[in-house]
Amino acid sequence: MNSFLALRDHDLTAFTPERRVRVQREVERDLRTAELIASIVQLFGPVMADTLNVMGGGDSLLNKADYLTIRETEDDDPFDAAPGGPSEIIR
Amino acid sequence: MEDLDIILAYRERQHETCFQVLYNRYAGKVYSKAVTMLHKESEAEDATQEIFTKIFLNLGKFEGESKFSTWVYSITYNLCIDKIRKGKKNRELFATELEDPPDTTAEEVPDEALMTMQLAELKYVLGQLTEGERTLLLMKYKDGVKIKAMAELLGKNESAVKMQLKRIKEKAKRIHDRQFASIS
Repeated sequence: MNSFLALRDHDLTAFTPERRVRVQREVERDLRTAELIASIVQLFGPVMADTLNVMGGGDSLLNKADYLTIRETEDDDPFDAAPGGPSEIIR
Repeated sequence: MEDLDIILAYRERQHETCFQVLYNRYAGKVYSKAVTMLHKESEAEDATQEIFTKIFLNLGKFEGESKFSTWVYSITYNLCIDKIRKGKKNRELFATELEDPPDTTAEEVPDEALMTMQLAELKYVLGQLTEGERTLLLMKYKDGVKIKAMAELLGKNESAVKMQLKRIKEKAKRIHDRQFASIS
């Protein structure tokens, strides 16, 4: 047998099943950690960047979007009449 | 199933089975290479972990231009070299040593001369070579890396790699003959 291939087989036997499982577990843990960090950055990154921008004297970019507030969307009375109170129940 | 199919499936769904298949295919080879280069099993284990983390985090960058095995090999090699360099900051790992120039008139040592050595003899010979020489020799004969790929990994041209290999083979043969020829 080729002595270099014998050396390769010899090295492969050093990678025992226990070692294989241990390394795999560590890799999976590292990948989960990386995924968690990426999710956090994705979620809070824009807000944190905006906070830093405001702290540095800039205008907030996030508030520029013209979102309707809950109060505005709930007011569906076209004549702007005051809403009826609980005592004025019409039967 | 081909490596590339598994990679594409992993990219799409991050499925554990894809991870498992790729890990099972390459873990032994990566560890074997790491232990050859780093010499310590514990260091090789840590390196294997780092290499696989790197592989899976960068799987999106793999474009399939080269074989996946070549890509894995280059990550393994580069990470191990970085670790070795950190340990030997002031030594040029693959410097072209001029103190032992090749005998250009002599015939090239045939590959069989090295391949037919006993395992213990080969280990002894490898132990007498420098880090760079050992890595180059194992890259060619143990890992079966082509000269072109070796040149790319080492940042040298192909003829320089061939010349260096020729010199290393001569040196290895000399070490072997000096130690074992009189015994046999």
